[in-house]
Amino acid sequence: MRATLWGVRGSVPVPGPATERFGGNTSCVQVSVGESEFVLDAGTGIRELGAALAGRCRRLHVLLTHLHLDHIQGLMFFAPFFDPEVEITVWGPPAAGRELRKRLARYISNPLSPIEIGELPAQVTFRDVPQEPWRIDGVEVRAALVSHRGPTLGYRLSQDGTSLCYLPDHEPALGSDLARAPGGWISGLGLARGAALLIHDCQYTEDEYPAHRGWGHSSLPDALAFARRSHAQRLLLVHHDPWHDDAFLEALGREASDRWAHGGNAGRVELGREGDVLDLAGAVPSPDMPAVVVDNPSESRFELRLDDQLIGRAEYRPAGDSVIVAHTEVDAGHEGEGLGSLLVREALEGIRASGKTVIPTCPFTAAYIRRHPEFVDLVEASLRSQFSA
Amino acid sequence: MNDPENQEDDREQPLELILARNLVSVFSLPALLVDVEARIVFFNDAAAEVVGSPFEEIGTMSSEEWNARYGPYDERGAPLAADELPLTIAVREGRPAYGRFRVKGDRGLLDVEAGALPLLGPAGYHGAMVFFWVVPEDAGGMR
Repeated sequence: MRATLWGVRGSVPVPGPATERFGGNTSCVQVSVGESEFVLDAGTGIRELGAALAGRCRRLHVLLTHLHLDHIQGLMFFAPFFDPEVEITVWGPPAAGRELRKRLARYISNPLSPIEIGELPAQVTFRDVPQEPWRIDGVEVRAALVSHRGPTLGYRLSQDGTSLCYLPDHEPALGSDLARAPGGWISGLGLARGAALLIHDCQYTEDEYPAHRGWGHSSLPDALAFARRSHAQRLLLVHHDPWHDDAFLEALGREASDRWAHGGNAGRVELGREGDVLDLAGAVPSPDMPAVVVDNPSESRFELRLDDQLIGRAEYRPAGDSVIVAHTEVDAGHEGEGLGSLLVREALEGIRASGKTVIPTCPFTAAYIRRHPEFVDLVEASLRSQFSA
Repeated sequence: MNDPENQEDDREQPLELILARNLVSVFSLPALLVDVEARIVFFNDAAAEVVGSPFEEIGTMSSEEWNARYGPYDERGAPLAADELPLTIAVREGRPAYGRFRVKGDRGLLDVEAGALPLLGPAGYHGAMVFFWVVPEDAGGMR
């Protein structure tokens, strides 16, 4: 599976020298799997992709997240649409009472367009995405509505255990605490869990976000918090604000890396650039249902489960306003997979959500907290100095 | 700590229900959410004031468990059939519904007015949102 970025800009194209390093075209990502071609969104970046595909691709799928202009503006300039030999299936979000074709025709019609949607020479089919995952040429495609203005999808493409998740317009933090909310109640998290590559919205800085809350996009801290919860192996931040020039984005990229490293997170985080090619062929397979951690108060332990089998535990006992984490272990067959860290991290987040502090008598938990300073504030106050740098 | 029954918190919820939870969690009007299986999957702090316990302590429960704990009751305190409750109508018929009845709260039996809205999205029915209002004692008994 290989992803090529043809447009990483949000809202409106911004060509010119100030944006030449990151690119000015709006959302478009090509995903190539063997001979199969998938196009995620049809912003202005799709124009150059069309030129690259012209004459060498007879069948392709365009997966639209939603119909805001920055995600469909390039449709009329996509060369394969004008080749009668090409079969194209355009997938998009369902909406009550209006077919996808008719909704797109509002743009590809007079007075906004010189041609009508029915005049496109290619063999084009328009389809609402199904509720359940479906397969295209051996690739499992999953779509789900996510938090953005209007019906908007996120996508997950999976093949041979490697998954790519695409959430370019997404505001999961709206009304939700991403660090503490139960995973099932976070928009898009089910799509992103364990993805080899997560391509996620990061339109705003932390300072810019309050003035844009509810607009459907994420700040850098929220994008990182979402990625942290998803356990994605690699994070690519996109949908750059049109007011952010190259110098600004270079600085934002450094901030993203610093924040990610400071949080002690594994994997990589970077800002997407037009022209980037990401080969996921060597990625570690990411199961659709990775290990999960659940609290089992009747046994006084957090349980690490994989395929519903208990494979690890973090034992605790209450102590007033604190919780003593006394022992953690992961079954021998799963050591070295980072699952111990997952178990401790989720246990600590569970304790934080309960409003209690932690007394880490377990050496592994104590060592984890020393490596992850974001949990030091969770340590019982009289012990906290032992964990501060 | 989470209640063991709350382990289902990790079940992936539809966006309609996620956004409804985000919305009602900031409302001062008591509200609860049911999912497509008619389980009570969330109620807000204002509702917790009425029933006497926060959601975090109680966790997800079936509508039968909820009714056994909190009612509804008629004006004489006798259990009411669930069939005509606003929630039941919203779930069964996919339309908004309104009703007035009594619930057993922390402070004994309370008159409440309730309105239920089905959560219908492009993919169909996902549950319902129920708002209720405790009728002040000086507003008169149940009509």
